[in-house]
Amino acid sequence: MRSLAVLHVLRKWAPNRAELRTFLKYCFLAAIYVTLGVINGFFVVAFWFGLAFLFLTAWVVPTLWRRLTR
Amino acid sequence: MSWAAHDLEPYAFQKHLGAKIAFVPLLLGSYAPDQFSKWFVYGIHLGPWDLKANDPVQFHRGWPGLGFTHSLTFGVFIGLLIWGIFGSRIWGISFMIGHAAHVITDAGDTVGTMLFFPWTHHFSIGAWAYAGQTGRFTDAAAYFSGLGGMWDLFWILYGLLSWRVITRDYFNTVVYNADAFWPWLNKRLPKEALLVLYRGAFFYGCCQWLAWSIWAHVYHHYPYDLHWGGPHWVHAAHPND
Repeated sequence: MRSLAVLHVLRKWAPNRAELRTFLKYCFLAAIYVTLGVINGFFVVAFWFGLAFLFLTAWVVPTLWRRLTR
Repeated sequence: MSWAAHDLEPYAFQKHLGAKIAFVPLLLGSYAPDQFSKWFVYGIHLGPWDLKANDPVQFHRGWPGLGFTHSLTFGVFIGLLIWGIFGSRIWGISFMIGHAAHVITDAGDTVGTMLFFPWTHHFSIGAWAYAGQTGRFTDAAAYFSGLGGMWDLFWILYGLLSWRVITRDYFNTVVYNADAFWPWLNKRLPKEALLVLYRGAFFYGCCQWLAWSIWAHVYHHYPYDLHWGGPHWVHAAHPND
């Protein structure tokens, strides 16, 4: 009974395919940003750098790419 | 001094308080105490000038100095000011909560914070070494080698377990509707862009933790020291130093 309850909780917690795809996309961007941060610590000293990086790579670039390739 | 915790704690509050708080002032409150002081604690080069506090610990956490920014009373004062000037109760209270989280978290180090300024007593748990006076890079190495880094890791894991708080559905149904700021910004940017901005601090906090941990332990081989008040290979500052 308890294992069924755990399974139910896990199933509710687990992401669906679209959510997993989004997570992997952010992991890929994180890998780039972390690499930049390890090479030069100044990339990771300010939140605004991180926000600008994410905004550019997760929204600006994909949006421009979609418009250019439409 | 804490690093990624200040980026990640607001998402935990968001999860538990839902539409009762506004995320943007919560995050601003969480960042506020260090915004005007940290650069001067570590020091910066501006052309021929080196700007750095003579006594970084005193400047950052003490009085005289900017230590009052790390007090609960300062957070309540600014929160009430926001409430009074902008007429937004939710912004005022959210700012106070975010600010209080920062102040209480920073009480975890060896210097601690003057929680009830103007009472200048430092409340300190002393779990990890305060090493801001050693400069940004040594401070990072020390922080991510001691219990401070583990405290950040706790918030990363908590955030990952509560991952639905950063989903599109949660943003659209809870965060967006709780605060008029998002509809206002939505007149200039599409919702897709707002969602990216909302996730920004979570992304930055996780990346910051990973980057500094790799930098300190893979690239530079600083030793971990998870003892209370550590790492002991760095000089830990105390309020009366």
